[in-house]
Amino acid sequence: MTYGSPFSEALIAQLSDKEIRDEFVADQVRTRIALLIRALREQDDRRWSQTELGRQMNKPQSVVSRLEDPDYGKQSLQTLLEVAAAFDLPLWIDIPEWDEWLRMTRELPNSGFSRQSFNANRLANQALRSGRTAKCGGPSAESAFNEFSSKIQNIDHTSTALVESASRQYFRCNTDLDKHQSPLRQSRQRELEAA
Amino acid sequence: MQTPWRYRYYVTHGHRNDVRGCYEAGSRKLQAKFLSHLRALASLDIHQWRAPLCKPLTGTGAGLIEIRFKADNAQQRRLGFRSGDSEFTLLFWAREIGDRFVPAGALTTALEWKARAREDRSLTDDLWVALF
Repeated sequence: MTYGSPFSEALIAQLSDKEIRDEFVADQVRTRIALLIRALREQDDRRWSQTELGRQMNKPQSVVSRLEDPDYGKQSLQTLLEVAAAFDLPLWIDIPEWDEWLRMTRELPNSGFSRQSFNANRLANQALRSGRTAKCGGPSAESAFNEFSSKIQNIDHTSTALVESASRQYFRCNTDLDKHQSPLRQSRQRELEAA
Repeated sequence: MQTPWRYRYYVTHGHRNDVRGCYEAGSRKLQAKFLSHLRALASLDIHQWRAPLCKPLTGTGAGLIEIRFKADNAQQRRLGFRSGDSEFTLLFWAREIGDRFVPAGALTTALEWKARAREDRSLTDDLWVALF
């Protein structure tokens, strides 16, 4: 068995049977979802019981128990969105090519697995570091960020409404920034072409 | 990245409930689930070798680990043991019906084969299927 490469010829030969292939994908995905939910629930800074996750989702513990059972396999997209929302994390679903899928499914959430819930301050800082708020002729994104940061510092952390309002304002400013940047870029492009 | 587990299986040459024989006689869906569960477990560290994918047995079956999944309308149980660092040896293919193993002597046979396998590694072989 070759572990160094993303997948071996022998595995591909086994997956040449369509029925095996379909069930293999289904089981890998179900297992991944089940283990992912458990890992997020048991993450060090959460340590939620199934009952607690159920409470966050407004569902009984038995629903969480089923979600963590790889043999259940009847989770709806809506339920997955609710699970992700309970952890304050986004959901991502894709239909990739086979080589990518085989690479992505090589590993499952292991001990020490951790994913951070939405944290506006952390994400805004990340945007600032990556230069997303570069100066331009439009509204100053930096001033918007400063305003946002001061709001964040002053708010009561339990007041999600304020956080959402500050986030909306911050990201609206950045959207406006894009609108202002576009004509500038077009104008510069025209200058370059003329030259 | 966790070093993937390697699997071996007990070779019985004709005994019933030989892991390979049962795999080959099973449906395509059962085969796919078998591959998928072993692949999933292979990437997990020992602390994650627990329910729902597998369960260390206690009582009469102490020292054995069962790999669990449902296929062909039955709870499938692959009995085996940890035979080394990141190595697992599959011994016996049983089913669980109403909290009882079928065949009834599954645990006794698996423990007997485990003792033999530990004494003589040539009684086991590398897994015949690829997981990665």
